[in-house]
Amino acid sequence: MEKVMRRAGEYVIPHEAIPEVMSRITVFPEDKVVCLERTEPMFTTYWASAGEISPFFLAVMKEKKIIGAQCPKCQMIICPPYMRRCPVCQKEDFSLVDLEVGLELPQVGWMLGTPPITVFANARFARYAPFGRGRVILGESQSALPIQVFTTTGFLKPGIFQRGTKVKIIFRKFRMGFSTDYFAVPLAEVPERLRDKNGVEETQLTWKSQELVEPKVTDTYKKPFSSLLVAVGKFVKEIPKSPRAQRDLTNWTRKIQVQTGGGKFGLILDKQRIKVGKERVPRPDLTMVVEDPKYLVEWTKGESLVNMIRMGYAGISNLQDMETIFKLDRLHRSIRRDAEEGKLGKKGKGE
Amino acid sequence: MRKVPKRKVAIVGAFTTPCRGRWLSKTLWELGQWSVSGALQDAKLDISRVEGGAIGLYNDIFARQAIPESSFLGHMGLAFKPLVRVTNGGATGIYTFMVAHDMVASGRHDIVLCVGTEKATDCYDFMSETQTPEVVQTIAWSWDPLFERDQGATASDSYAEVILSYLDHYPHDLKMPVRGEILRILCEQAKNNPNAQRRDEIVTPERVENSPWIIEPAFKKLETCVYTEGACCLIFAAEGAAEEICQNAGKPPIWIEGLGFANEPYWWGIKHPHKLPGRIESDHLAAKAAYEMADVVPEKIDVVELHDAFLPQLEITMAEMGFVPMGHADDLIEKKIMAPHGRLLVNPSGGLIYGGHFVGGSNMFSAWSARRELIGRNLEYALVHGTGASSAQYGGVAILRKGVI
Repeated sequence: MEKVMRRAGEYVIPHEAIPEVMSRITVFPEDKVVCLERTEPMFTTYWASAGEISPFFLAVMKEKKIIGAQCPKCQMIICPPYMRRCPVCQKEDFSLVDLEVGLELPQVGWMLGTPPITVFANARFARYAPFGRGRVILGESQSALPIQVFTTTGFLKPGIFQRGTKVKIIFRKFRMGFSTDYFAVPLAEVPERLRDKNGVEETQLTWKSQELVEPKVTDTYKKPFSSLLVAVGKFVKEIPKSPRAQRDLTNWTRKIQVQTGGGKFGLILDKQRIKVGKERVPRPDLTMVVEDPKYLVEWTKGESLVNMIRMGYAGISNLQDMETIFKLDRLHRSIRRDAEEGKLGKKGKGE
Repeated sequence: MRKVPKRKVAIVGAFTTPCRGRWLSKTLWELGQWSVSGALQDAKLDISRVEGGAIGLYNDIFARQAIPESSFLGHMGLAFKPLVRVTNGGATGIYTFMVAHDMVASGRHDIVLCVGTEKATDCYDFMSETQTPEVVQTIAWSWDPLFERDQGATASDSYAEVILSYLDHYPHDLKMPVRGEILRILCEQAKNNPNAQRRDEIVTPERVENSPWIIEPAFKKLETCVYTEGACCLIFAAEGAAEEICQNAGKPPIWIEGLGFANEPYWWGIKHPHKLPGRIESDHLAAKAAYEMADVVPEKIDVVELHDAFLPQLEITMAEMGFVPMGHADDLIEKKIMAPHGRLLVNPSGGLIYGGHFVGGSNMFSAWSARRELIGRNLEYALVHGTGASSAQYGGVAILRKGVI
């Protein structure tokens, strides 16, 4: 009987992603046609086999090893060992070194290219954004191993990983045979005593996390804070006039405590509107810290809160709630588009 | 060696629906049928003369149905006739174009439909209460399930890898002010396209700069293509039939002079047979093959309709296709190559960023626009480009030439 490993309580389709059976009658504003919408699924579940690639994942799980494969004829090494026959020499079956033997590769390598940092992720990964993903060359491999990249510093910013950056492969403590069982950190962030060791686990590193500190209220920021309250008040009044902005806030409720160096206030998102709340928000869903109020004034003029967070000018208490920040960022453009649309030509009818 | 088909093929009719973020009032069937009907009217052609067709439908999940073409083949007037469904990533449109072309060029058929349609935004993410994360998730199912998907790979970040690795090699290219200016031009051009999705928007370089990062530090929100619901139909006819149809319709044939295709491997590495960082070799090889078949050079091209999934990729593709040197893609603006600063018209439709991107038919939409420009501005040559799949693996290029009636 096979051994079953499971992450208790974790489902391949998260419960919160599954809608109830519903239908609704909708009148779409663009063509005034009454339509019926229904919630529908399209899904299949699997016990999916890793087939001939299983030894790679078993080596990761059981031995904390990364293995590649080598063609005995042309000597090409590949990692990951994504196939059993060399695509160049493919004449004979099993021309690559048998995966079960494998070719153990070093666990220090270099980034093939600058890895992208995903800020806006797909539905399944939104809670992890921002995150990095790249490709690492290990040993003499000609192919690159796709890999998640992490920094121990608590803030993944551009420049930490670049083309050629030396990285160390780190293993998760609990491994189940997924490509997330291993990841890369900059070698420079790994203590020297661990750099030459294989099979280093995440728990052997010291991980920092970003702390959100409430800014001290100072005279410097008190005056711009008054201007900020005026600007925010004016901005949120535009939302009820903009169908796009209202759509941006559909079914979204949040109590946000905003803390600045000039004072604090609340943003209450409810019923497709935003209310500006008093100084203290009871039991906020999210806290946003922006020391210099001028940045929030710039937000009301179209600058991006997401970018401010990425540049370190702003911080939020829950990075898993970046969706709220994306919604706040959409508002200015939506209001602008609705205002500008009336000035432009009519839509086409097909041609 | 120059590859010449058995017989020449022309576009003799075309129609595209308006591009919208969502066509709540229309099903996939209606969109497809609408485009076919429009194209037949454009060519003044009866459906009974059409012998078959090819349809581009990017993926079944968008359509909420496996084998979705089966249920509306009849709606398109192709009952009891052959219809091939093509799906080839983001390049589905240009590959459908190839299949439809070859159906005629081979001598098997005289007149066929080349249709592309998509409904993407029925997809809905109930966690964020928006569509885009679920649309992106649907595309993310195209990543290999063993080594990449669980790491959170998206369409955007694989193109970002291409862009960032290009910048690793050419750090002084793809400058933000140039990107902003190209976007401003594309946005302006979309206003001349009655079917463009974002023709009501005004985009300035400053607005691009202020828009949020999607993939850092590769590109921002206003540099990304849109998701569109829509359809486009082209009618292809063999020489002989083409001239007769065009005479009757009063529009010149648009001859398909060149076609080229190439797909790069999925896995990246330091040398072939792997995909190389800093390159979109598929675009380079596809363009090279198309130029050879058409016996033209980039300097002869008047209009480019390019699959601009992301703005920096537009610049790299222009370099790969030989319009500017690799590492000097900013020459498009800085050396006044691209209209209105220069002669070359790039994405007069607004491209996929402003015009629309209904994946199965986006490249047909590009061909529709190229034909419109060749006829409307009395130009000679156009290039239509398509790209797609993880890391811009797939590339296709068609060279069109305006004929006479």
